[in-house]
Amino acid sequence: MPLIARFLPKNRSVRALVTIGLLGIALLITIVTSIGVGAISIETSTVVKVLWSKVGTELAEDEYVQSSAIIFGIRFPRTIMAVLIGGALSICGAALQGLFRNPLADPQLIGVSGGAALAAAASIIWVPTVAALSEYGDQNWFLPLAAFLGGLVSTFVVYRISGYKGKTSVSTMLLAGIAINAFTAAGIGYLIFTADDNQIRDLTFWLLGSLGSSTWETVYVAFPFLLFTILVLPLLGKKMNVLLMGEREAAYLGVNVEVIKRVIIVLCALGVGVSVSVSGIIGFVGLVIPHILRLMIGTDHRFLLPASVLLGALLLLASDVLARTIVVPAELPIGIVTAFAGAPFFLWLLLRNRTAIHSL
Amino acid sequence: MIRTEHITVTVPSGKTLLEDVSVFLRPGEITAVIGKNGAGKSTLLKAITGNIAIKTGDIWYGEQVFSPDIQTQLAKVRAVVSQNVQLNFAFTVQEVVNIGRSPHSGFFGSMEDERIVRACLEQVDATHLADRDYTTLSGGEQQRVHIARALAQIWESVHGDNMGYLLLDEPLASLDISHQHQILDLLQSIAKNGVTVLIIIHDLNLAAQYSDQIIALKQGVVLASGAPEEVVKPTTISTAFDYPVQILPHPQSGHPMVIPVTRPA
Repeated sequence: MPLIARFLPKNRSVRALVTIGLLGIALLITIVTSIGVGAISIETSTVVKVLWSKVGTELAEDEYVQSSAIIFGIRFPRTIMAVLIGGALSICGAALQGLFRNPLADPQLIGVSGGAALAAAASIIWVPTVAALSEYGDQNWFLPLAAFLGGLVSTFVVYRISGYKGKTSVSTMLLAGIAINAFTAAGIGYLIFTADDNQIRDLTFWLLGSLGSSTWETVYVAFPFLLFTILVLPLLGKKMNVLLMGEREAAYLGVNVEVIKRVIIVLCALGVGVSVSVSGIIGFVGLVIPHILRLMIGTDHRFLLPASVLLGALLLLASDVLARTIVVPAELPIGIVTAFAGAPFFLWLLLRNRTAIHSL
Repeated sequence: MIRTEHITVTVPSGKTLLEDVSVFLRPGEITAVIGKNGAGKSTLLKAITGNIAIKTGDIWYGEQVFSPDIQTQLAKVRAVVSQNVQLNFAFTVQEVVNIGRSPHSGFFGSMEDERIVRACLEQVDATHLADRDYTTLSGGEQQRVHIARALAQIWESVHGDNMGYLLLDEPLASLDISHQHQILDLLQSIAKNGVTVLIIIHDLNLAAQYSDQIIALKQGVVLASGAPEEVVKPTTISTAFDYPVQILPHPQSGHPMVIPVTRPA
């Protein structure tokens, strides 16, 4: 049992609920403190007062004008995006692992993010107004829609290839992911080859994964989809537990397997696709977070899914703070931060599960 | 009561797995299905449970003809223990058994569900495994856990007046001799409560000792069916398995016992 789990209550359900409560509190604290951190640092008390002014006591006219502008103009929308994208990527990872019935499924590794990125990149290059709209506001629905469809196609392809007679093979899943990632990388490479200088700058920055382009406009577009994913997926927790027994057993237990599989695929494509359309590919979140949580609270998806949202949001927010402060005044793409942390973690997972994986 | 009427199952390649199979599984009885590897035993179970499509014929659960639409409804009264369930996630044994309660419970289970889970674990002698990680159990322990899961699923049928069905595909394969008899005793007491029990079994002596009806399959066809004394005869068993056997009475109970004939070297 890992160290953290030792301090939590023994009964698994109680432990899970306590963990979810603690994560919620930790997330709130991280949100408030992270808004204060940056090139110009703002006192936590000021952050609270400024945020509170939107719902409660209004500020006097000349109070905190500068802080208020920084908070609402730059940092708050970015925080919202970090929370939603972290939550969505992480819960989609957990859900895909349930769908594939193995803990190594990750939106990036199996090509969901790649498919979404290729479709989004194509829409940026080939639909000029899209790029313009995504930069200068107005509600641009086309980019997330394209990313959603790209993610949907790749999820569906990997699932059909790696699933056979109601069972899924880990190696086929990962190999199919490699193939899809190779294809999408080539596709994006081709788009870059044909793009002009401005487009190239946009594309590469976006491809590395960054929350830097988060504005109120992107929040408006992405918010409903990501919130929908985050709120609906946890409702499937009980059925996902049953699905882990295998499709045949799940059918005997009264679960409509085909319907629930489709719902998971569509919701994951939506969550990952919309996230990718905003921030590019941010890898390993969907792999690492559910895994840490399984060690802490177990496999029960009724608790694992909501806990994934909270911890995913928290860690991505923390990574974003790191990304935008570590090389001030420049900013590191957050995808680099998560990959530096996540890739070694993935190797450690492989090492730890070596025997189990070989037998699959 | 489960009844199949002239069911035939073929695979896309054209091979016939079951041909014109009519069986009658009575409530309150254990029906054992025996036969060689590939005789169609698992196929029969899969056909009855709707896991594979039948080409012709009908399957009846009580007064209701089976169709995929009633799967959800059946989940409350019918439990299936399959061979080799693949579960790669570290659920605790308790959680696995609790999954059997899912057709009956809401999003969060009740105290009653937890009580049933504990009772079922006790019945398969697995109380001490309750908090263990399922993936670390031995094959025999995993089988007992799945039997407990099935019991939890049809708890209301076993302990009430509802119709209930319990179908098991080689549930004893990895069990030691004492657990084999313990589980079969348990199945007998479940059948006594009016549940229809079907068990696919390789051990002919156990089948003869515990079942009320035996169905012998060969190459997808019913070779013989009836009470153990009627089916477990030298000619029938030798034909079913293509292997010469003798039948002796059990020294204590008088049940027929199958003894393989040693071939001269």
